[in-house]
Amino acid sequence: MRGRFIDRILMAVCGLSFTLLALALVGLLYILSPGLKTITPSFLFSSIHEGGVLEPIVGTVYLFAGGAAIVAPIGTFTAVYMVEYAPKSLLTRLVDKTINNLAGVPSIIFGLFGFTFFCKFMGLGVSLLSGWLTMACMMLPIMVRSVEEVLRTVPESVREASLSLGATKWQTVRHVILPAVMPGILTGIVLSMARISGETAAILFTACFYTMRGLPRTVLDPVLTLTYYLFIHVVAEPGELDMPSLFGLALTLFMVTVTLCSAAFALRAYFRRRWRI
Amino acid sequence: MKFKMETIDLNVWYGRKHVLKDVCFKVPEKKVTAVIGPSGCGKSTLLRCLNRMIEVVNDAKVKGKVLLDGRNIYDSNVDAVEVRKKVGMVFQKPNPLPKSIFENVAFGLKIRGIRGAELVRRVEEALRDAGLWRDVKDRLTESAFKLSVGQQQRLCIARTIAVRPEVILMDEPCSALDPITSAKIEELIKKLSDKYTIVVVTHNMQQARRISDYTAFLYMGRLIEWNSTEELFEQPQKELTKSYLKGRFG
Amino acid sequence: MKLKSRHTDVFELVFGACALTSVVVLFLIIIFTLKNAVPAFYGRLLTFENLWAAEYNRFGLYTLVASTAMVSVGSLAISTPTGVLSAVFIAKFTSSYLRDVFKTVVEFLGMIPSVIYGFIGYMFLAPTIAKLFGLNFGQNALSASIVLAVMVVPTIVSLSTEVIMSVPREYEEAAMALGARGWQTLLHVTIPTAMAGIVSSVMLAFGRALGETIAVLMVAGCPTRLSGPVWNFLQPVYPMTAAIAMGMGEAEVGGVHYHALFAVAAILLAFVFVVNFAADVLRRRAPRRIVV
Repeated sequence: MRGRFIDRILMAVCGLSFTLLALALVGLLYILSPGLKTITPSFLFSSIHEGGVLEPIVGTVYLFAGGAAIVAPIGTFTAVYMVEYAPKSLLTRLVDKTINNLAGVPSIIFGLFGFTFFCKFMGLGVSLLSGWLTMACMMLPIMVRSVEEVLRTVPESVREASLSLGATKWQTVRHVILPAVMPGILTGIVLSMARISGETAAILFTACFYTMRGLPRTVLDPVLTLTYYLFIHVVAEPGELDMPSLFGLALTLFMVTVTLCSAAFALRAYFRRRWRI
Repeated sequence: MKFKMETIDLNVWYGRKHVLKDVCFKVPEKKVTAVIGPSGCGKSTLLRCLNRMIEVVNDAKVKGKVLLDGRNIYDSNVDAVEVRKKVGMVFQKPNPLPKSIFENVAFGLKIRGIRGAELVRRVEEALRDAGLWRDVKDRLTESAFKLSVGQQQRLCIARTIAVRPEVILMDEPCSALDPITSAKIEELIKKLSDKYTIVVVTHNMQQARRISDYTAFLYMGRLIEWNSTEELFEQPQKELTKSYLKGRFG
Repeated sequence: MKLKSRHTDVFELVFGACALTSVVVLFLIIIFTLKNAVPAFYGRLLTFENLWAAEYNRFGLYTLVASTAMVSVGSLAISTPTGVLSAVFIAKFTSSYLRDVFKTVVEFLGMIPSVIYGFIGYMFLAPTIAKLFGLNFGQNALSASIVLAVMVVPTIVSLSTEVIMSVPREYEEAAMALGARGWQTLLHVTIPTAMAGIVSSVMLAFGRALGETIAVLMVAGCPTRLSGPVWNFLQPVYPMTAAIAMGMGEAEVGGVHYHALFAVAAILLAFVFVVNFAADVLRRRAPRRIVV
């Protein structure tokens, strides 16, 4: 019958579309796979002056760790304010719209902002610190939304129980709600770190310097990240890495991001299952 | 007769809906007072006014006075948190905190600064008084959610009495429980009335008759009749009360 | 007497201050971008000609804006049908276990760093396109559109899937009870109901495509002018984001080029805000579940 035929066609077309996506991912992995041979412990742990990628790896970790350290408390407290303290206030509605807008700001604009505000106006120069602050601004929406999401999963009855025992709002938040949503907060932190570890445009002129080839000694030094290192090798060809090493670099970056993402998704799945009581 | 709590011309609105109308409710000290009436008549609302939990509800407006030991708890210099330390509440649906059994009972004590050996002692005392100690003494660190519904409700009662409030409010404490567990909770309530002033909201007339010393009948937001339980049930004064008791409306 | 809890919490002030931070950040971004862009607007630096060459002080917006438009539209042309159909597939044709797997796969695709996409585009896609069409270089609007399409398709898929799954079962059951076939229910009930959300996801993807920098930079070509008409996708193009990134590497702080770049950034920011606003308005009219 014609109807059932169309049903089948539809399913096939949709399945085909999805297969294209899956193929894109597989293709990506396949293209990066030559890098597998290059990724040895010596590659990962030797300096770039010896053809390794140690400094970019360490630099990437410095960057996302610092950014996360700044944004975790601010993002968490913002979400706590929005959900627990003043869900109906003007400020909350304003922050809600702001977060949506911030999430849509292109990373290059964060880069420009970081440069003109943190590097020039605040006088921090092109440095790790400027990078941290710029990254913190970028991570803020992810952090706030993640924590907001988990705070909303806490049923109202729990808050009522705590309040009825004579606890203040702060005591309720500190001793009842936050401990219960800690895995969710952790997920938000790891998710933001995953996002930042893949960032290039925003650190291009806020934290990275073309001639920088080493580890930052202070927070006011520029930093070298996996993303930036890969980028300049494609665009400017400084010639420190040969082709296999280049693939190794790309694959390393890919694996760092995938690891962080997997950790975040696993945490999120664990947390969602836990609350299905 | 001394009244531990009293409401004077209490009016409550949810948005535009006038939910409680000029209610003058009395709660005698160290007795069990039941509040009965058909669903939607404002029983739970009245209860929530007694410990200022009404403030947690959106759009609620309160006018009138609520006296605790003669003092109006809605006075501008009275802290709601302090009120709730003296007036505890047990909810219709058991709502343990997402913590262990021990931590659930300990929470109220911890926020009052009680620690160490004293804390452990009071937790045990509360669990014993609530009749839960034997069931849980070997698994105090387990999650409270592992208990059955009846045990969870006892846990909620335990955490309420652990902090030794002056008044305990109970909002249909047995409606989520089976008849056998309900009977046990009723027993517990009668036992607790030696030490505490208790107000129980219930839609179950027979239960009210069994456990309470005084009963108030609420209908459509108004307090229709208030009397000792015996007199209200045997010789109701108002027509409405008579009809309700005869089961003419739910 | 309207009731509010009387207990003044110093913590409420602290948390409120944190909340204020995000507002301050957005405000600063707008202010500082505009502050540095204003000299370019006042000095009439920007023109509408088809030439963007800083060394000659020629800042023709046509090149940049047309390139951005080409690449964004091109990427949407590829990603919208693929994305929406994939979303339908995940939402309607898979079991709930597989669904979680597929959704995670799509999320992964969305988290891959843009420089990796750029790398792959530069190393493989561009040469392939060059060979396919007999060009010298494969960096053109087509390559950029393809790369961008892969980057934004996860946005479309994840949001559309959520929206389609949120269409109330009752609507579909009503159609089926009347004897409609699967595809008829889909076409006449499910998709129309979900349409606002789907369009919203496409607009969000558009916003992302507008703002992507690194990947397009590596595969778009970055010429100083567009050599052909707008529908010729085989020519190298120079989107706004790429121009900003390339330019900042060379521009002297406070100089003419510097201000021109900020002016372009301001225009880009305006575009993005408008698109996101439209997406937001549409999203409110879509069926929603609690989790976004």
